[in-house]
Amino acid sequence: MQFSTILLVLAAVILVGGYVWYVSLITRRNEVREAMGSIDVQLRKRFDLLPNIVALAQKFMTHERELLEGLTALRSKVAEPYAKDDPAAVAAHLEASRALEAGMMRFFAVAENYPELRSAETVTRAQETFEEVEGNIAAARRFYNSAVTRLNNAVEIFPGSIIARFANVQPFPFYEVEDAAAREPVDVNKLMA
Amino acid sequence: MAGQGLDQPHACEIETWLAEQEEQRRQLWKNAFRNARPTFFVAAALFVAALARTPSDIWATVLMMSSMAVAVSAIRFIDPLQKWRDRHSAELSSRVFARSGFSWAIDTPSEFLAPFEELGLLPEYERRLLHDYVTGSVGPVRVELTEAAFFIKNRENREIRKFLGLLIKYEASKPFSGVTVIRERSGFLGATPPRVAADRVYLEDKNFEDAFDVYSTDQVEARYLVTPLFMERMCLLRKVAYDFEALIADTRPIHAVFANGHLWIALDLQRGVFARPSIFTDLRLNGDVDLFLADIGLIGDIAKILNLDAKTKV
Repeated sequence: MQFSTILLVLAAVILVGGYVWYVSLITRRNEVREAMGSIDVQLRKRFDLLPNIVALAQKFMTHERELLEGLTALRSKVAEPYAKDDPAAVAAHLEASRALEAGMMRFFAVAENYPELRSAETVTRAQETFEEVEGNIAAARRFYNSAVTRLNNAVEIFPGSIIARFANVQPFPFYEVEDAAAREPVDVNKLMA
Repeated sequence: MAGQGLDQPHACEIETWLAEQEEQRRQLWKNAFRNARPTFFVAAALFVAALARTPSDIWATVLMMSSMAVAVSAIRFIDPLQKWRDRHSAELSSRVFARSGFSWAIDTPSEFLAPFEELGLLPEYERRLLHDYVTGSVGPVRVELTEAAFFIKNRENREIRKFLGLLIKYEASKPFSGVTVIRERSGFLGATPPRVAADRVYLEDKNFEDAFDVYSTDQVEARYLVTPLFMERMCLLRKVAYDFEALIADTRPIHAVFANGHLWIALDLQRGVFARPSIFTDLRLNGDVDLFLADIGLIGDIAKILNLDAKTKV
């Protein structure tokens, strides 16, 4: 077989292989977008709970103005559109949603000190919906992290790293617990002291 | 004491009833032998007559075969015992299930099987046997189940059993709208896609992934239903429900599907459940009631192991 034929076949193999890898990268990036969309659907359900709760809470929680204003601000931030292809924008969006989740949990904890608010049907229903939505968010988070793992593996492992540079596909951040205190094992002795 | 899984008054009640039933069984055997005696005499006479002839004589063969045929025909005198056994079994089932808080019927409604077939939980079959239809609740979780066996003819036209176990339908506590299939692995070449048009879901628990394949119409909903704790519980259920022989038989023992607000489970136990008493052994000593209670306990154990009454996200 002539040398030129061998070179031709080799070039064809590299081109076809490279194309297949490119398709795989784009597919995985689209899976990450799909997963991000799933998270946004659940986050929207969560922050749609807020307006009614905050309106009701303002009547009772006169000393918690800072908390309520913070929640409203976080809600606005999470509702802002963001570039789903930009890992930095996605990271900022996930950070905002984490902060909103922490804020809502703090709100429900503080609401325990206001019996009239705690027993209000709006708040009770909101709390039940919040818990159900949290289950869905946890599931959406697992789907997102699974899709990101597959994408990041494809982008960071050679020769995917080269093809990803040409295709402008970047690794994405994971949606994970950022609060170091939440990772610590619970010390029962401290709790019981 | 039989029925040790029941509380004391019920165990005593079962004991008393079993003693009465044992009396009936013995009486029926006495009647059977008494009625069969003339037949055995005829068979014995034919046998002696056959022995009296020379072996090469054709009549010796005819008399010998007649003697055997007459002796075998005596088996018809066991019919009353078989009928009694069926009535006793029905009565035993009714009593034990009622005491455990379930309703029981010997026949299974044909419409109960249809969803299992549609969801691809059953093997291919040509003949089926359904019996012992049980309904009730395990705590707040409604449950319906039936014992089932499915058979198919192989290439040599011999009937082989593809499934013997339980088909169970539990009410699911979590709301969901799609279909999520959890199938035990049958090996690389044996993996066939589920009947439902669903995508493969890859999960985080390595032990679970080694044992099961998950498919779903919704990736997020699949993870909502199959949480990390649920995966651990499925692995535990696998250990609890089966002994080693069933697992190495490569028969795909557990399939489960979340669909239409329920969890549908096919448990191929490779053995019958809800013991049928034998007409040949003492009813008070053969432990049928205890086996029965153990099998009923399995229904509750599955619901508890899988934590089916939990409304929380785990």
